[in-house]
Amino acid sequence: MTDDAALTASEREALELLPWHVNGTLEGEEREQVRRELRSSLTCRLEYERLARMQGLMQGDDAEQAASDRGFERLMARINADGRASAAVARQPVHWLPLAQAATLLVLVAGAAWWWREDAAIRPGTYQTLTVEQPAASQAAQLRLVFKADVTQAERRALFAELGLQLVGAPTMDGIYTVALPDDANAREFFHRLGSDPRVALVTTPPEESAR
Amino acid sequence: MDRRYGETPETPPDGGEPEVALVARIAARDQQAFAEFYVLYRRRLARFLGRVIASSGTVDELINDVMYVVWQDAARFERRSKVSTWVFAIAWHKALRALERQQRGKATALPESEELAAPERGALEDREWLRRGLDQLTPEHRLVVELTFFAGCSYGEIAQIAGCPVNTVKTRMFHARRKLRDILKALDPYGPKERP
Repeated sequence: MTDDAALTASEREALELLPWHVNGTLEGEEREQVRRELRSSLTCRLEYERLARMQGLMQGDDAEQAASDRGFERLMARINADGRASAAVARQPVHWLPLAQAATLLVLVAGAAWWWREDAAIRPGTYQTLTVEQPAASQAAQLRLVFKADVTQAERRALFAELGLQLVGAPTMDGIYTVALPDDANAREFFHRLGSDPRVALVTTPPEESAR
Repeated sequence: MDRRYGETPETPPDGGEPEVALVARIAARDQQAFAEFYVLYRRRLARFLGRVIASSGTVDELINDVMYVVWQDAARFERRSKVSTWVFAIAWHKALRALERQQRGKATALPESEELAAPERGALEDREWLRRGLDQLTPEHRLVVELTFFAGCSYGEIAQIAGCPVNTVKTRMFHARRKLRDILKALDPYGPKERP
């Protein structure tokens, strides 16, 4: 900005618009007006250089904090929790709520008693996490993979589509993707297939899969 | 609340924007699309919110607050603005609320002087020096500067995001530049090397 009182009206208008000329969003007559002033006015030219430098510094300022990698998981937990709560409220008329709660409690108690008598050891170990309710695809076998650095997003999506893989959540900050295999897929076969794919740098099983 | 963040009837439809397709999939409750959208915007929002509210502790929460609204309102996005304008409008609304909460906890008033003192230059790099100068602006002025020079928004888009007339955007930019006068002069590539 300048204090020069001798500026023409056209220079003042151009100076006002300069920030948006610098960022390339000015159009039409306004852009032409600024260009004309830049050719003829040293004041405008100097201010343009300062603003361009400022823009360069701001765009190159990469020191901002990155949101934590767990952020998306927390968000989905919140969304899923809200979804379950609102679905439950929508299903039950309010005046039936105490009766419904009592009935639920009875069912739970009866169920627990029945479960206690059964031989739980022969049942398959099904369980749910208390954090994120995963999409149905994530119930299938999962693998974790890292792409080679030069593989584009489009090529990554193409690989997922080719093999029918479903992305489970967001990739980590380190670029680790967790994918769910198609139903009835042979995990070992997929493991080798991904491992030999030229786009993939590394493939492994998730920690919980390895432990099974 | 029936609020259309950043969308006004004057805004032309934005065809062909890949993010529009993602929003449509989010509206259909596609969690994979939502994950992609989250990754796409996480850094930009972290930077934007971090600069506007200058409080690192709440940025992560605010990002999720913004994304929560995206998930809830995706079906109501009517393509009357760019997706980024819509998202930044939500972010600005959330940032304002956070700033109000911060201000309630503080009695200190914002500086009233027409021109802010340039921070001590010393051995600071230009980038850090500029950042300290920007920190002295009011949130409304910082918003305009950030959206112009970092996000690359037109003044019309900024008006949509801030929910104010275009002339107000220009006025805020004018005052922001005035307050940053010494800093801008020091960034002059042809100017003297000795800084104030």
